Amino acid sequence: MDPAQTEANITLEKALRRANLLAAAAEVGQNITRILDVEELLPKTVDIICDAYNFYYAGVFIVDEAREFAVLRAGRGEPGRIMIENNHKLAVGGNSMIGAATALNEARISLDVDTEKVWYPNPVLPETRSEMALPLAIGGRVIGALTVQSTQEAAFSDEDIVSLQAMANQLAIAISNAMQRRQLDQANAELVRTKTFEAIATATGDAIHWIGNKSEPIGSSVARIRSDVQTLVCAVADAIADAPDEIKNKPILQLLSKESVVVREKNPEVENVIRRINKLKPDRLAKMLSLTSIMEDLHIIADAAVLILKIKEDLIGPAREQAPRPTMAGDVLQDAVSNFDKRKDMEIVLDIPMELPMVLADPLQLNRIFSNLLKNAYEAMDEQPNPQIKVRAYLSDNGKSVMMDVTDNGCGIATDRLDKLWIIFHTTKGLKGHAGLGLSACRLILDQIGGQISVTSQEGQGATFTMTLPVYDFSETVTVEPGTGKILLVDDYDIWQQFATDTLQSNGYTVAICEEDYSVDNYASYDLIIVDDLLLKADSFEMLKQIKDAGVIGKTVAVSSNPRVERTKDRKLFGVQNLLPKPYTQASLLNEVKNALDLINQS
Amino acid sequence: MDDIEYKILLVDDEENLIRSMEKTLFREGFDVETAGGNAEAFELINEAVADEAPFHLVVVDLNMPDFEGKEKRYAGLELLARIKEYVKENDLADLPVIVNSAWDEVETAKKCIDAGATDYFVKGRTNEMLIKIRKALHITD
Repeated sequence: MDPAQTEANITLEKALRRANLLAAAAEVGQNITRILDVEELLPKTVDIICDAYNFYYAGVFIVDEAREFAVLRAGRGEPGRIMIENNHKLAVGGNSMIGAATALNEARISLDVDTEKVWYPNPVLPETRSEMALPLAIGGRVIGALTVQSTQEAAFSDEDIVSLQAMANQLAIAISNAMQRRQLDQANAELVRTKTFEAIATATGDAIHWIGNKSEPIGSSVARIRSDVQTLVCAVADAIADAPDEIKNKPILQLLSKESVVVREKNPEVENVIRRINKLKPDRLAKMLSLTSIMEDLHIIADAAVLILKIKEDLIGPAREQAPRPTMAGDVLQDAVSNFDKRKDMEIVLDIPMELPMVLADPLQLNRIFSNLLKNAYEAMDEQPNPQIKVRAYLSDNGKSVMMDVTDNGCGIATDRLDKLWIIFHTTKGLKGHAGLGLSACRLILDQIGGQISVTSQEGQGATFTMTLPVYDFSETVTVEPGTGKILLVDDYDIWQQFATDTLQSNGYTVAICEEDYSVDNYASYDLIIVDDLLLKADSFEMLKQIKDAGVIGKTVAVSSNPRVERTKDRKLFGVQNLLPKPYTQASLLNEVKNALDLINQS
Repeated sequence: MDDIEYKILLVDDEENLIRSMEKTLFREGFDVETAGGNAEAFELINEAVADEAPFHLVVVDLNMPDFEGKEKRYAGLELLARIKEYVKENDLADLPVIVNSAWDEVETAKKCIDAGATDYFVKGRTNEMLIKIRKALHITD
């Protein structure tokens, strides 16, 4: 081959190699700039580089804060893992290629590691024959170095430095960006922490003020009542001192006279008070020492006690054990509304469709939430001439949640206060009214069952609180063994009838539904009878009587949505086998049926 | 003190608390009126001056509704400033203002005194309140 041709071939080969290297650099650049998390970026980078360039090993060192060491932060494969575990680091400016690259911001090449002086022999990378160390620098400041290693001798040329350094520069930018991002995230997290702490501190401060305001009058009221009662006893004793014996000797007056002696002994100050009040004009006297005044002080004490108890309830509420079960949230809401002690001129508009699916929640806790929201709405409409609360329940668009809106036309909530609503002890009612525990308690309770609560409001235009409650998934896995038996189900509430029938039938039982006129031909032909304690169109207790007459009351389980102690006791005394609380889950129904049948069979 | 009937205006938005303070002061022989916020208080002060039966002392809560009726921290100091201004504008006899709050804090007390309060007491400390009121009114038993 003529020399010109050879020269041309070499040039072509070089050009091709350079093109390949640049293509690899571009590929690496494209892949790494997408990764924004530094912890993810570094390990991925070494893999991306090795794959793109077909290197034996690549590792990324980052210079520590003191700029003493370049610390290995990512390395390809098992060797990388071992070295990171051993906290592999090389001194900046030390006797290693990484040390030199980081100190001088220059690439270093070792074409044959066996003959190289500035080479750190590494037992976990035995096949390395040539290595290149590339500084990672941003604007002249070295932040680390990249090592790439090959199993071939003289794998790198001086010309390769240009393209590999271009790649390393891109990597440096990516690392720097990711690190800055992390710093920003950290700073942001710190800011959020500070803000949260500030908010809690403010709320706690308000709470201290509030509790102070509520409890302060108690002491004064008690002191006044004590003084009033003592003064009255002594004043009456004085008044009857000169009365005829027939009056004085009345037992109650004798008692008062005796007690006045004790009062005067223990509290000589009472003489001064009596002397003073004797000088007062009647209207002033009435204002100072009257039953009305005593009653007012008692009222102040009672008020404070109620509010303090409310704080207790609000604090304990979310901590109470929750027993989530399939629940008809609409019913609970309706119940809360009917028990709500509303103002006479207040209108409550209900829009609660019957066909809503059941949610998974604890009815008692739900009731607390609804009552809280109604009370809040009530208080927000303090000065509203036509107060109205709208309560609406509906299914979410995806069908997975039951949504409930409680809307009032009250004073609304200022935008800057919306976020703070959920902080414990925060209250929009300032330092008056309740302690602001209600909403944070609501949120905690809902959190526990996978629900949510949010608010939309504009100052002066009312507010809407929206709750999201997860729909109960009837496809829950039940681990109760299937059974056999003929069961009569007496429950005229469609949803429950369907639920119980499906549950029992799919577990091997035969289910008969009571006729529409509630007539049953032969109670004794069933293995078990389940009777709802509150039938919509019939008297449940009458049915129990019929069952008792048929001699099979012991084969009966009563289902009760209100299984109070009295009721449970009555039904048990009447002879029913057991009482099952409603709402029940598939599992609780199946367990109950199985246990009941086992007991019946044993007897 | 039986010779002069001192008129005191109590300003606080906490119903039971203000009622309790009112009763306590009434029993001590003071003539007491109450207001639930800045605007109402200022109106009463104005009316009393017009009726030539001005108040001798105002006791204000630090945190309560401001002149716009909005619950606000240090709203009591706004009333204090307004009273000082009013007294000056109308060339009236000085009207001492005692501030009270639930905060048992040096900084809060300092802030109130710096703003021109005659005195400061922590809520619920009835004896302290009575001593400070008597002192402000120069009453000696």
